[in-house]
Amino acid sequence: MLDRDQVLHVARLARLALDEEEVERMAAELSKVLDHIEKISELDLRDVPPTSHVVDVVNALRADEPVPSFPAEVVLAQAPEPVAGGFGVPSPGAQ
Amino acid sequence: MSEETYEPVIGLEIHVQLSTRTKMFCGCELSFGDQPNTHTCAVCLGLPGSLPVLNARAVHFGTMIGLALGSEIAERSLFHRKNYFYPDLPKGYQISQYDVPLCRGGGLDGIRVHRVHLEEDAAKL
Amino acid sequence: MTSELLELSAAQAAERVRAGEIDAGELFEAYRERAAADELNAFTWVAPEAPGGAPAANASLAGVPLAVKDLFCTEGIPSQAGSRILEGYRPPYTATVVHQLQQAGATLLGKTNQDEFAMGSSNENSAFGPVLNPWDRTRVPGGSSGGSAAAVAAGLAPWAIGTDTGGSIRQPAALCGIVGLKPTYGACSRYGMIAFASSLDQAGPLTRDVTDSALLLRHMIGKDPCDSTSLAFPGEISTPTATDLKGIRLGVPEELTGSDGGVEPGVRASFDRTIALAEQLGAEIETCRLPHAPHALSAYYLIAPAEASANLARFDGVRYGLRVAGDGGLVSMYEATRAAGFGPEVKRRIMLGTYALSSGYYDAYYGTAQRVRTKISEDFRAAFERFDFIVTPTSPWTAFELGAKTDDPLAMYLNDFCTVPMPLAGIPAISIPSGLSDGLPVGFQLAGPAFSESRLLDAAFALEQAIGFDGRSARA
Repeated sequence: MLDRDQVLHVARLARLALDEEEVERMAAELSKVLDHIEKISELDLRDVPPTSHVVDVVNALRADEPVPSFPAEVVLAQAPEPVAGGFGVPSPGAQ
Repeated sequence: MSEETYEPVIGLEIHVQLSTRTKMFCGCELSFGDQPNTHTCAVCLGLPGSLPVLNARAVHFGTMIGLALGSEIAERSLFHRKNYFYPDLPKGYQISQYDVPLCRGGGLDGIRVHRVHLEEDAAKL
Repeated sequence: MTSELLELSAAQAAERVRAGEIDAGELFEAYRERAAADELNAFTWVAPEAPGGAPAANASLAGVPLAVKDLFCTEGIPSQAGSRILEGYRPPYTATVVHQLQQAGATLLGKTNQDEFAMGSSNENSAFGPVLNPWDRTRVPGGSSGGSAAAVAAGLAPWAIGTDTGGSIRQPAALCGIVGLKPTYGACSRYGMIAFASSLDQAGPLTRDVTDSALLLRHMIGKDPCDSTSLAFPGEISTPTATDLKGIRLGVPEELTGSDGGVEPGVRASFDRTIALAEQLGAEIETCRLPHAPHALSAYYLIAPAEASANLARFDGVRYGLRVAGDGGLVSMYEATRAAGFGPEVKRRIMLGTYALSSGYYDAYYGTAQRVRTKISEDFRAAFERFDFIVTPTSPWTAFELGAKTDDPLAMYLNDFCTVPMPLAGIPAISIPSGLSDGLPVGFQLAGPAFSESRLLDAAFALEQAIGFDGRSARA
C-alpha cells in the first residue's frame, strides 16, 4: 500500500538517502506494519480528545534571567567543519 | 476582464523580536556584535538530550501585544514542532504555535489581526 | 574477598561502605575488572580506573558503582546511544538523573550498549554489535536497555539505569532475570537523555532485587527546571517491607495474558504459578478488562516513530557527530550523513514517523493514535477503581535466539505488546523474575496508577520474597 513514489517522497522529507534495494524493502516493510496498525481506524473515536501528555503539566516557565553559556571552544569542539568560529556547511544552493 | 473583477487581499506576516534578556527556550543572553557561538548552550545548539523551557517574559510580552491589539487571549495555548531541515535550525524543527496560538483576532486602525503567536527564531544565519 | 563483595546487593554494599566495613575503591575495582573483561558486549565504555577520593560519609549510594545506558549524556565520556551517527561523541554536560545519582554517591562504572536510539527489543540494533544474554549466549538479552540488563544479570555491575519507552527496561529485565522499573511519566528528569519518543521516554533502575530498585529510584526522581515535563513526586520512595499481599486486589487483563495463544506456554505457566502464589499471600485476584489494550501496539508504533522522526532530525552532520560529504551541496550531505549514520531499524521508524506526520496523513495516523491513547488511559483509570495493580507477563516469550526475529520487523514489535500500554497511559510498572522456563528467565509485571511506585515496590517485594528466584548462575 506504500508505493515507490511515496517512499521516495517520505525519504526526501526525512533527508534519508535510500538505495534501490532499500526503497523496495522499505515499501514492503512499511506497508506490512501500516496494514497492521491501520486497524485502529476501525475504532469509534468520535468525540475522544487526543492525548499528547498523560500527566498534565501547565505553565512550565523560566525566569528571563541569563545563565552562563558554553565557551566557544566547547561549542565547536566536535564540529565536523569549524570555520572562523562557526559551523561550516556545504552550500544550500548547490545540490 | 476589467479591474473591478479582482480585489487585492494582502496578508502580512510580521516577525517581531521581543526585548527579552534571554532566548525563547534557554537562558543564553541575547547580545549583538559578540563573537559567534559565545552565547549558545545545549538547548539552543540542539545538542542530544537537551530540552526547551519557555521564557516567562516572552509569554508576558506576547500577552501584552494581544491585549494592545484587542485580541482574545487563549486560556490554554500549545506549542508544536514545525519540521524542516536547514543549517540555522539546530533541532531540525522550529518550536512554534500551530492551532492554539496565544492570541486570536483583534486589529489596529481597521486592519484585522488574525493571530499572534510565540516561536523561536534563528534571527540570523 | 572479591567474590563476597560481588555477591552483595547494591543496598548491602552501600551500607557496608558507610559503616567503613568495605573500601569503596576496592568495590569499584572489583566491578571494573569484571566489566573490562566483559564477553557479552554489554559495555561500550568502561571507566579506565576507580574515581579518586572517598565518598561523602553519609552518601546514600556510598561509592557503589553504577552502569549507565549509553544514551544518558555523561560529560566528556562517550554517549553514543548505540549509533554510528554519534560514534565518539562526548557531550559537554551530564544528564540530570546521572548527576543526581553521582551527588548521592554513585560512581560511573561504564556506559552500556543498547539498541540504537532505544529502538528495539533485542539489542541487535546497536551499531556496536549485539549484546548476549548471560543465561544463554546464543540468545538476546532483550532491549533496548540490553546492555544494562545483561551487565546486572551477569554481575558485571551491581546495578544500572536504563530508559523505557515501550518496555525497554522491563522487557530486558524479564529476559535476563532481574528487576526493571519504569516510573510514572515525569517522575524522573529527561534532561540529558538522548530523546527517542518525548511523551513516552522515562529513565528507570535495573537491579538484582526490588530493594535496590527502590533505593536507586529514590535518588532518580525529582522535578528538574531543565525539563518542562518533569514533576515533583508526591512523597518519597519508601523502602519496601511487605511480607504479604493481604487486601491487595490484582487485576488480570484478558487482553494481555494471551488466552488467545499470544503468550508462550512456559511463560503462561510461570505467570499462573505467580498468581497462585499471590493468592496464598492474601491477594484477591480477578480478571479485568482493558478493552483498548489490543490496539496499544498500533498506537505506540505510530506515536513513538512520529516523535522520534522529529527528535532525530537534529542528527544532520552540521554541529556534531558523523558527517558524510555526499556528492554535492547541503541536501546531499544531509542525506548521505543520515543514510550512513542510522541503522535499518532507525531508518524504518523515521520513515514510518515522517509518513504518519506528513500532510494528509496526520489525522488518520498520529491524530487517531493519540485518541487511542486517551482510551487506553481511561481503561486503566477505570481498572484502578477496582484494583490496586494490574498484572501481566512482562514478555510474551523468553529470550529468543540471536537473529531469530531480525528479518521481520512486525514480529519484533510484538515483543512489546504487554509493555506498551503503560507508557501510553503514563503509569509506572515493574518487572520481577518469576521463575525459569526451559532454563530461561520469565518476568512478571505489575502496573499501578500514577505515583504508586512505593506501593508497587512493596507488593513486588512481597512477591519476590515468596518466589525466591535465584539469579546467581548467570553471575558465575
